[in-house]
Amino acid sequence: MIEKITNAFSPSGHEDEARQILVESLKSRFDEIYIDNLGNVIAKKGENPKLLIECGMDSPGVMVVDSSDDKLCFSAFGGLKPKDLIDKKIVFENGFCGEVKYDGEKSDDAKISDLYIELGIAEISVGDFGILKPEFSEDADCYLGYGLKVKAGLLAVSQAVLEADGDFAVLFSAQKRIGGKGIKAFLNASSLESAISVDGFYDKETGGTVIVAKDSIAVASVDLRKALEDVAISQKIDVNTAVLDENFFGSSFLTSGKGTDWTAIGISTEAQEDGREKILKKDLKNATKLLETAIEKLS
Amino acid sequence: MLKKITEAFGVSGCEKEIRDIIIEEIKKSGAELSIDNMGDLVAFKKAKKENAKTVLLSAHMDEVGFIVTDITEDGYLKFETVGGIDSRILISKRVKVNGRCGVIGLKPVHLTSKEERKKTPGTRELFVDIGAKDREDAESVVTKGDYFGFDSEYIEFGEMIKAKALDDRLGCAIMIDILKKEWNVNLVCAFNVQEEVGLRGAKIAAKGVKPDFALVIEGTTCNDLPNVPQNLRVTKVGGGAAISVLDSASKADSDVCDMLIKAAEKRSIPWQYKASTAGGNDAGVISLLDGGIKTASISVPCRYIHSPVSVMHKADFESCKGIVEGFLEDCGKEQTEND
Repeated sequence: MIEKITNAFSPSGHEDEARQILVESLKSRFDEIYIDNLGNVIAKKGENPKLLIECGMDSPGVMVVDSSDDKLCFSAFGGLKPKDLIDKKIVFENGFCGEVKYDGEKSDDAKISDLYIELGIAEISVGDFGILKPEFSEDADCYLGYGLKVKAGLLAVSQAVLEADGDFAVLFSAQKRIGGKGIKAFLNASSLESAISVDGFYDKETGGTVIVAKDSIAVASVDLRKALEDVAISQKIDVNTAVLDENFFGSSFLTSGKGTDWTAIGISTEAQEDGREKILKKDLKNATKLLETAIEKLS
Repeated sequence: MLKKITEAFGVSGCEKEIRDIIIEEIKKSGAELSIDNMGDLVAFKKAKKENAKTVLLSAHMDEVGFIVTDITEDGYLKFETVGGIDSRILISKRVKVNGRCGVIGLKPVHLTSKEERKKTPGTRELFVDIGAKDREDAESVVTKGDYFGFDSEYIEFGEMIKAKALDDRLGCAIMIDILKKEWNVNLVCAFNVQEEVGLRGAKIAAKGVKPDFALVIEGTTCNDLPNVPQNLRVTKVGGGAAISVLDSASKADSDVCDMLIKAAEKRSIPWQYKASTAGGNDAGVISLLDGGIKTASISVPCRYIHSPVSVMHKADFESCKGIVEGFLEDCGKEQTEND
């Protein structure tokens, strides 16, 4: 399951592959599963659940803007920078995979518009989307891959919610990497009591699995955060509490409906020199266990 | 009609003049009209059959412009821009201030040093001369906080049209024409305010409509200029209406994009993708309303957009209108076939 989800082709707005995997995996365990107009997958247990678990299911990527002269030129979305792309492999929905080239001397000076992929005979058109080829691998202690950070939440949530008992809903949000669009659309029509987001983060100082006291914008609800901390203590799960620089879209949750309690679980992700991202298996396991127990206590 | 509505005044937050013109144009269309507290004009035209799909068309009435921040002792106006305007295009342009001619001035070349000529003056260094002899005279025409806009005549040259505010009066013009026809869909046309200052009006106008599909009709960037490489051109004038896939405000719904492309190809109407992820429009807020609305954008490429000399190709305008009309026909037929 972990390899399947990590390798799924799911750039923002084209998450069909991730959706299929999730629906297939969840359908026997939930009372209701549906896909809304933004492409979010929503799964519910029980009647009118008040607790929501959220994670993103899309990846940053590139959109082709020109395919003349046997070269693919592209724009990037979801925060990808030239340095993330140069010499990396990009894979497209039809399976075509090409390496990103830059003809300049200093890669620090590169702009996205300077980069290209040699097209050859592949059929790729303007408007097509590509993602970094995941190249997932694992050893005894960790998972490795390109674009793994954005899948960290999905990996933890898709495991934890299978086993957890209680009345709760899960939002596998679409278009999270282009401004939390799926989250915002869902919240525009929902009324919740509390929500827990799960996502990867870069933070060398903290490391491990963390309970988020504040993301880059929003302060988490103290009672909900403390409830998670109590779960961690009682279950002897090794987690810290942290203030993170990344936007988990806490603000959108807090201000939705009549106000929603919100906190998040962050999973430490370490960037490798070759651009791959590493997640320790123990961190993912801790996040999954914390979430599973929290659902049972809070729902 | 394009002449009339592009020459009308309607800087963001001050859209009464253009709204009144649109109301005059559509009041006999049979649509039910309403104006919300922000000033959005919404026209609803019910399908002539039951169980029809509901389609929201959306275009914005407002245009980029200026607001007066101060009046000098000498009677010149200091100003800020309203919406995105590149200060490099401002020098020596004509503006209209409460009906009176004004020009954005700069000191003469004879008195300017080489160094000064290398720099582009920022908006705060510029001023508007409305021919007033002093502050008191200027204050008889204008007060601080008044809006004003570019003064630019609508001109057709060859197959092209030059005008101010093509973004997005062209969308308004298409919706006006569409409202004058009968459709097998419940048609909601939202003429929005304040798009240029943060997509504000659409959020109110489209809330609660809950359409099956929404189309935003726009003017969009076109960079098919000399010495610009193909991958930075975004759109091509004369290449047909541009269908957006992804921009900084929204990811277009793939189903609605496919329907637009089918509507175009079935009718042999030229179209192109908007080949850039830059920019954004009201689709960014409409697509998120009420739990998510299947939304896409279709645009007419406009060179020199957000300037008084925006240029579009007549055929691209017709392409955009034809594809939107084809989309509505197909939505109506689909429903008829399902009945």
